[in-house]
Amino acid sequence: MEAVHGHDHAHDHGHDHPTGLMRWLTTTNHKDIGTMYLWFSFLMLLTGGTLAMGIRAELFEPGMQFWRPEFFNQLTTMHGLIMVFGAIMPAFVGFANWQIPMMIGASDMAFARMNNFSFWLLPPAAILLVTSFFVPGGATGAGWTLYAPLSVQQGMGMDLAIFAVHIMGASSIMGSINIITTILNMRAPGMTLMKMPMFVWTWLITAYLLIAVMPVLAGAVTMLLTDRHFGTHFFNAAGGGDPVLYQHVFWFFGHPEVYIMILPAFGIVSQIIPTFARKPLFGYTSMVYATASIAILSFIVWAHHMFVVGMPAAGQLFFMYATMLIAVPTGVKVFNWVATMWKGSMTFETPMLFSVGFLFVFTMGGFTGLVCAITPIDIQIQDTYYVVAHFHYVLVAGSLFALFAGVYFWLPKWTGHMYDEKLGKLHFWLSIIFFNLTFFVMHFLGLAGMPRRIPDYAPQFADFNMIASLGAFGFGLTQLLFLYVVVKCIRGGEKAPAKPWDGAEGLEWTLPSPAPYHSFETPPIVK
Amino acid sequence: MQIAEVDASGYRLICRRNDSLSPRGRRLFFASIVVVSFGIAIAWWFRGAWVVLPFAVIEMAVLYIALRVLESHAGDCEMVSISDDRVVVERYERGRRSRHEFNRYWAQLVVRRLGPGDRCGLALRSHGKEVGFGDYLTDEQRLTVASELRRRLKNY
Repeated sequence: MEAVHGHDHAHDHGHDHPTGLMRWLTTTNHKDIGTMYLWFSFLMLLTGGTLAMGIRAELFEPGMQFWRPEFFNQLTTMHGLIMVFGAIMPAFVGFANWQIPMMIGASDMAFARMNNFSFWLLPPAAILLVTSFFVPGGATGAGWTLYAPLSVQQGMGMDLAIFAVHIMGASSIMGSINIITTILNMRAPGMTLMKMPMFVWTWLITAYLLIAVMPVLAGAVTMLLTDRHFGTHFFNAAGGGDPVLYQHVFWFFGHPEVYIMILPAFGIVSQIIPTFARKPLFGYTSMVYATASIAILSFIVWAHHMFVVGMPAAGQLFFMYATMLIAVPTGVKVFNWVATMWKGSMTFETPMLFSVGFLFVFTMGGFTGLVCAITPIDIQIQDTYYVVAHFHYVLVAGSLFALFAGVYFWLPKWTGHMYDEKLGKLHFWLSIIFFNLTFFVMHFLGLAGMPRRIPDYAPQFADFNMIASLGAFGFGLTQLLFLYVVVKCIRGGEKAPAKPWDGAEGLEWTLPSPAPYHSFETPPIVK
Repeated sequence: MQIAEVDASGYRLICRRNDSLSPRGRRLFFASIVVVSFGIAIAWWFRGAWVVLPFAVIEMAVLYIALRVLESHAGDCEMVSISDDRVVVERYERGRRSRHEFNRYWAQLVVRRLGPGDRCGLALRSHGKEVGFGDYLTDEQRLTVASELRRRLKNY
């Protein structure tokens, strides 16, 4: 019989469910690609975490214990690069891949093959970064910001880092284009922009930010490359260039990048808190506008990272006030999350614990950010451990805790099994205790004047450093418990219903657990 | 999306692809991102960092191609029409048209169950030829259309 099928899925081999290695290499399925992103980012988290252990081992006591100073600089640099570009960003893209099509009622991402390609760019980039330790001169030690002129002078490891950043940037751009077109074009009938889940909104804005700033990063590292090898003098003062220009260009990318790493975290938490408070999100519209405001403001605050380069007082004042302004929309968000919980019928399963933990520690990170924003104070504490404490409160307790919350929240939907709640809670409590043990004391170290990026320090800093190192080892080991909980959940456990959380709202919960390989082949109608 | 028209001359079902972004929305979105991206790149050009601009151009070109691909699918639709003794299934995909004609008396509607619940696929079959349709309908809509078509084919 001659068969002329449009997209009859019973006969369409393009929709077959491939198995084995080829499934993962060639897959265009958003769930498979999301899974690969998440495993890749976890592997990078462990790699970056191992480097952090190396840093904390050296700083456990004063004096030089394990590493040469140059290698210590390589550890801090690669820890930053791997965590930012290899762990946190891909993890959020993994969440976007898994969740956005299910949350908007789409069958897949808009450009499924490009989605596969954007993932498979990441492993080569990661290999470049990690193997740069083994080339002559070792990895780059210029800091994750790759400041010129130091980065212009470094060895071959710097070139590998530049290529890796380029590749990861290309991956991010393709991922963003995919996410933005999926959200804008593939929403189910009836799902207007103002009916979208907050996670989708935050990713829409994040993708826009990524598209806007990625060429700036690409330009910055390309100029470094041409200064290193092709005789240009963008950042070489001897040739008429300006090293401070690099800082401006880098931070024009770098500050929006901070929000690229936190806005999707806001989205995850905005899904979880209403679920476990059993109330709708308080002030949905203001949440959307606050997210957009943060994104817009992120373009005009970059120079608060460089108050000490010698800018005029008017510039310092502008960047100080602009930075402080960000506290307003961020405060709106914190207020709304608290108001959502107010008089809610709350329970504290692991996703909620991580979300409430996020709320406490991220708010602290926000406040220390305000302290850093005040120019005269920043001039005192810049390049000290206070800054290290601040951004770890935002990126670990902010982004990472939200990622953990999101994994526990959607794991039943992804795997079809409930995770071990006791172990999940243990993971939370150990994480929050060890996290604070590690980073809270760094505030005191910074205020007392301990500079960052040094392998040795004066004896008066010894006690707090020992506490921080013990906390860091505990925090690192705790993440192995997380791995165990996830693997255990994948392998089996109590069967998860379609909607394991009774307060959950959204299209993803209308699908069975685990979500079928092809979900929403035709869009549902949103009333 | 489904539009069914029934008039004196017969029955006509039009199913369109779900596109939540209108052509105007697409243009507005692209214009906004071009202004922001090129605005940033040109500002850096004047500060000496001209290398940002070529990357912005490449990125906008990729985004433009992506939006054009979406646009090329915007008119995709399926039409099933019944008039007198003819049943016609037409598909438009990226501007290409395919047309399959059946004799109304011989045409059979096939409803395939594709999974648990109401998951199903529709096809018309006659004289050894089978044509699938209903890709842009929800399962619920497919079942409604199936019962309507079956009634009209049976009553001929």
